[in-house]
Amino acid sequence: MKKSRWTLVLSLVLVLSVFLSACGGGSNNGGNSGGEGDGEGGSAEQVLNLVETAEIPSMDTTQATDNTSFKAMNQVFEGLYRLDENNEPTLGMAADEPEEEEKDGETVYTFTIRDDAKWSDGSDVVAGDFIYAWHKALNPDTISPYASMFGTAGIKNGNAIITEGDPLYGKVEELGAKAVDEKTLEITVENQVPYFKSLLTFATFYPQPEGYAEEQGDNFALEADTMLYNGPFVFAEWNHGEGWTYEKNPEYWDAETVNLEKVTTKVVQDTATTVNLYETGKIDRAGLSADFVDQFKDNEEFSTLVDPTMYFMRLNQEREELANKDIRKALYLAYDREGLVNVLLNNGSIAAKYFVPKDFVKGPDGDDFREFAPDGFYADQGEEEAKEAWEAGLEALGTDSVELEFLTTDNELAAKIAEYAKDQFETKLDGLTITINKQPWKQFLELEDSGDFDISTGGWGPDYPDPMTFLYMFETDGEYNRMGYSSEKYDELVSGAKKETDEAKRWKMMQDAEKVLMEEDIAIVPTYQKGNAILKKDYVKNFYVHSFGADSSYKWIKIEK
Amino acid sequence: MSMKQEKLHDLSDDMFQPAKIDSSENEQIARESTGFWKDAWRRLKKNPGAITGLIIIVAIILLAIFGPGMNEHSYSEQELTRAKLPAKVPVLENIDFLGVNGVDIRGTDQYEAKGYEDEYFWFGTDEFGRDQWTRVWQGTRISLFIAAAAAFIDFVIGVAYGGISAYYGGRVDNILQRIIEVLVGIPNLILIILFILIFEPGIFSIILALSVTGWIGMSRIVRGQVLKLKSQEFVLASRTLGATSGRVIGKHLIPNVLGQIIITTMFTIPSAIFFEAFLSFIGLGLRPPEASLGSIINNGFRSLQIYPHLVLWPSIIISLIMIAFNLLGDGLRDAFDPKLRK
Amino acid sequence: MGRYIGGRIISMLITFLIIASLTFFLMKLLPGTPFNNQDKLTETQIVQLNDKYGLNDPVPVQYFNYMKNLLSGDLGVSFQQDGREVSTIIGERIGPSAYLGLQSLVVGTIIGLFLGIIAALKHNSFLDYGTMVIAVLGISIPNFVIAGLMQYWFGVKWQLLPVAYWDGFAYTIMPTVAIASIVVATIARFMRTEMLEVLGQDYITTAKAKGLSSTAVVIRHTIRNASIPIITIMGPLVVGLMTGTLVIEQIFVIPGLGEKFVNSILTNDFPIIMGTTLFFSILFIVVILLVDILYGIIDPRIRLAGGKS
Repeated sequence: MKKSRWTLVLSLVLVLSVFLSACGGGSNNGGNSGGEGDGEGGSAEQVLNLVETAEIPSMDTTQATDNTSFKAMNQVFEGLYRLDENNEPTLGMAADEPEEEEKDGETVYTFTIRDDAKWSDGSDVVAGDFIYAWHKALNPDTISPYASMFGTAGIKNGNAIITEGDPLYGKVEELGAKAVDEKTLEITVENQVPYFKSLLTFATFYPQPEGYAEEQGDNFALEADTMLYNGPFVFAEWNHGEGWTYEKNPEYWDAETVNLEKVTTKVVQDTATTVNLYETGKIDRAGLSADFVDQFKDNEEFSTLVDPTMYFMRLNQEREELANKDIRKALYLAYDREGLVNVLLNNGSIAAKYFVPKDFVKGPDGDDFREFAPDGFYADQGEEEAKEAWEAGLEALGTDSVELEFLTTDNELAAKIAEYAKDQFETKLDGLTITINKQPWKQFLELEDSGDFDISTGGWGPDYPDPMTFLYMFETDGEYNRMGYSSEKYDELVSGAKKETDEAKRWKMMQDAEKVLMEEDIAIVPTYQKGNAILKKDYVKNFYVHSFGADSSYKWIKIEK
Repeated sequence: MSMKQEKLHDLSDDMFQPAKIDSSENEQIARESTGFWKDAWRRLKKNPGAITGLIIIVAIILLAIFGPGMNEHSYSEQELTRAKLPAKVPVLENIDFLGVNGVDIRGTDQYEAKGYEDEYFWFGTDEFGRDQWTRVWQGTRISLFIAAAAAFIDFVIGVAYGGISAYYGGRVDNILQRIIEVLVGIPNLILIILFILIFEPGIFSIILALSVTGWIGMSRIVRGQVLKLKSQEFVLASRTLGATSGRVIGKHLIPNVLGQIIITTMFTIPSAIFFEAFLSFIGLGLRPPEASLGSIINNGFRSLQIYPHLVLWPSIIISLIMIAFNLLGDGLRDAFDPKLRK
Repeated sequence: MGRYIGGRIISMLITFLIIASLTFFLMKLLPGTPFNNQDKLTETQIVQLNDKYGLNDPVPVQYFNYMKNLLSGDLGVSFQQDGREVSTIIGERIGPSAYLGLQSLVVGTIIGLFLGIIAALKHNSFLDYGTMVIAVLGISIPNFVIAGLMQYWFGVKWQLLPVAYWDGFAYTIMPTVAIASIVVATIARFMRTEMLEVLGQDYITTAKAKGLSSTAVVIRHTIRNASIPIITIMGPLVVGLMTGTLVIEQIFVIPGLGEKFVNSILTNDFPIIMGTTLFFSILFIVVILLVDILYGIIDPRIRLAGGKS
């Protein structure tokens, strides 16, 4: 009896609250004042509470491919280097900068591993642990999705070992890396790249405790207690699907720098829930979607960050209509990027008419790569030029109407962007009809890969700090080209830049390549560079965010209440 | 008095005829004969709840047909400068507590702030600046269509399947029920993904996905009821009198199960509408910019705390649809129930 | 009865095998690879990864291997969660889902039955309409809207209940209410209809004429006879609720099975899809069997086991 009355009351309250929130009567103090419940603790407890949007798929450094895993690994493991506040590699497991030696056009780096580099069970981190993990990553039986990183880093035979048909295929012992003694690691580089040390901060280059991993077999790194840690933190708890908890690692060589005692992480997918948790003081940092930015943009704890991640549209150049450069130009210019970033995204994203992101890498002269065309290409042209190009294109095709299919994913934001693009294109270009084809991610990739689309949405984040991580995508028949784009000039510039050792020349070649792609060929329609809207309690200090590899580092964080 | 007497005197015998006494006339039915449907309609008319429900449904259907044409905006016309305006209705805007004066929950008049003082968007606008009124009614159209299709499938497949299964019983029942178990066991979501891959996203794929398993609830209800009814005396009597199986099912069993069938259909309508909404929750389903009530609510739900008008109006309409169908359903149940017939 | 149940168990096994096979082949029709970050893999790597998991074998061979493992109780390992056992994953997810499902079911059923009976006994009164409006609102407002509103008002505004997470009884209250609203609505409506029908039957009049109190009539005769359709809908409801509700799990951050299942399908995590599907089917088949047996117990007039005269 009591219970039913309670539901009745509850239901009425619920119904009423819909109306109330619509009328705006009862919520004047909404939002900003939130729950500041536990602020008066006095001595600052070094505990940080966070949320992630996905669970960790893998803690095996050779198997992970996603941001969540990489971020978690960056807190509990460490490679020869780790990224610092300014995204520069700083010494990690390596005791000192390596000795370099030139030999027959190859460079040999000799690293000494710290004496106090320990796994969390107190055993030493040895050179063999690196070799063990690296061989595992390259072995065809246990191949890592990121196995190509060895080739990218220029490590000897890194590419050959994973190329089927090559005489060296599968021969992991031919890799240019060996353990000279317990604490000495020798890496032979056949092709020097300026971002070599930065790459060594990447999870694929982490060590794994050889003896322990062998002993655990298939269970290695599946649970919190079936792995060993050599980073600033250890996993105290890992409840799959729910979250995980870090605790300070007392065996870490630099433990005295680490302030935080504990970091809890829960998996929360819903943005509204994240914001509500933040407002009630359950978490210390929250990502926001466009709607919530309106509510929090004047809040002191609000900030935006720009990622070097680019979003663009692939134009399938095997389609007759899109093979026409005027048509492509019309699409490129008709799209109003300002509306997109200011209203729909509303999170600090930058309207982009370029492909290599801003604030990503600096050239040999110390200037940002973007400096050579800061506003992108065709920056001063707009709707009028779009219409002209469209007319010219239609004339060349001998038609007055074009129908195109826009392939997109089931992601909410991607779908919104597609809706916006459809409207932009159709209202500005007469005779154009866009049909949106929304597919789940896996099916989207399959359709895109087989060229079964006209226009498709794409995004790309860097794997290493160099413009090449973007530019190599659109080489003829490149793995990620996927739109039948082919330009001899572009191929020449990109492959030239890959081999060029003179930094200034290499830089110029890459800038030229971007110019060919964007200005001469208008091969893609870039839309925006990703921004993130963040709420962060101001007592959380030194939260460092990285532009490639792992998203962030907790090593230096301090709670100052 | 005297007048009457005079008249009586005027009467003559030839003015009279002997009455014909025909015993068969005793059996004649004086009142107009009422069939099953007519009687049901007559009783339905007497039920105020049912009539209210019917009126609401008709009104919503009319609005779904004509609503999108009632202003100059189209459902897909975007204008980002007027995004997320709250509702504002002429005249009613002066009555503060209705909340249709263009002021958002933070107390700013968004129409003024965005420079649209002279415009009225009756349900406000969405994040693309599209007119919510037009979109909501356009969405109602699609939702009602999906619901109608689902209800139809329920009726055709569910009732027949459940009826046959229970009536024949034994081996037939066993096999048909095992088929249901198989159908329920296969994840619907895989089928939907395959459908939207083959037929591309849209209403057709959704209805197809609904028709694979949507009718199972109905068939199990009908089966449960028929199992209960078929061994009752009136069925036995009818069979003894030589009624065919078809007649027993159609004339005796189905009318007695009709109450449950109607209730179940009333539940099919929301579950079909929400199934579609669930698909949009996980990002599958309709091809944008097309929208249904479910997908509009789902989009707006993400900003429930900030822009409640995006959820409020479509929620009210969905609730009205449900309440109306339920009122009508109750009325229909009473009207069709042979046991309540007097 | 014993022979009937024995036969049903054999046919359950057959049904189960058919479901396993059909799901397996349907799943193979889904395009795309099951690997994470597929867009960052090269062709050769995809081939190598496929080799590693035996996905390059012809489908019949894969099918044969799968069924062989299945019959020996091995559900395989997840692709998305790097080699964790499917049975472990289901095991750790089912707890919260089942708990929440059963709690909502119990609460929802009690309230629903109560409302339904009240409405029927006070047919056409204000109470009748009132309870039915509540019931209808329960299904007509999408439950994620109810959940979102509760979270905001009870969690953030009034701070009466925790916003989210899965950490004790207080954390189950809001999700239970959100899920139970559907149960209440469904049960209340069916109960009302069925009660109305039973109340019109002759044996009720007889019982009343014998001088039985109206409470006794309701308890002894009406409810029992009205429960056939309730039991029919309860079956699938139990399975549906116990296996988790994606939307509620996401909003209240509950580590349940619903989220895992939907994501496994969207990410082509074949072993998880198979594992959860089979788990759901077993649950469903068993519940259906129980429902059919209950039919006979509640209403002796129903004879399932070859009761043809």
